[in-house]
Amino acid sequence: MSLPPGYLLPEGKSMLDILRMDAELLSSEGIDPELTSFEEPPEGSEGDSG
Amino acid sequence: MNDAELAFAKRVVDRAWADLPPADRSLLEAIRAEERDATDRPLGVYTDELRRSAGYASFPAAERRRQDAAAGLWIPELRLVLINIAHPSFQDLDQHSLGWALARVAWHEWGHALAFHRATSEDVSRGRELLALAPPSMAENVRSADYRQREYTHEIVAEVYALLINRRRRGATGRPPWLSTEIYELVRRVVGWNQ
Repeated sequence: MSLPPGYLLPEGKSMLDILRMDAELLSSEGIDPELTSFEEPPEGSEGDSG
Repeated sequence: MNDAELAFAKRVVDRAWADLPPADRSLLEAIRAEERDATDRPLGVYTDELRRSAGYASFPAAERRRQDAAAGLWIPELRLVLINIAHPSFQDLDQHSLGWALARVAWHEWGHALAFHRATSEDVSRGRELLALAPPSMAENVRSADYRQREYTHEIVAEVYALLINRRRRGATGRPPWLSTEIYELVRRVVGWNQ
């Protein structure tokens, strides 16, 4: 089996476009897609201890 | 790329690792696949150096160029996930968006690490069929990136896994309404998703 090719994006698209896609999917099910500071653990997170 | 930016990327990737379900982390640790890093070098060049230093032969130049175009990479032989923070797709993002973007790519690559050896040849051969069942925006991205048909299944699984981790971080579990039952069951089987 060949190596996975890595994370490739369509020509002309950036990760901002990918994040927008994610936000649309999350919003469609009523989840707030706000991009808060990523480094802060989410509320109720199991963190590293799990 | 300055040292502070690289250090930020490494912290984010570590934070992204902590967001994985404990069972997934345990499995990755069991197969010694928990290594991760961020670099500012093209991944084809960098990976080739790492592989050769570990005694592996180089990939053909065309494959290395393809890896150079990648924002992230799972390297099975080295049990390593690498993110290229200098990749053009990460440029011009604000700090919050950059954090999520880096994490998303890392989650995608861990999806590969979890699923790669459990996806059957039949799963792989169903790539085009699965693409038709995927959310249209996701299908379009996979179809129009430089992936081969035999890679479609792996890419759909990894993309869905990244989104499932994102949802889990926000408190949502189970099958998302935008995901077909067939793809969800595939992800459950090949990744071991049980959240």
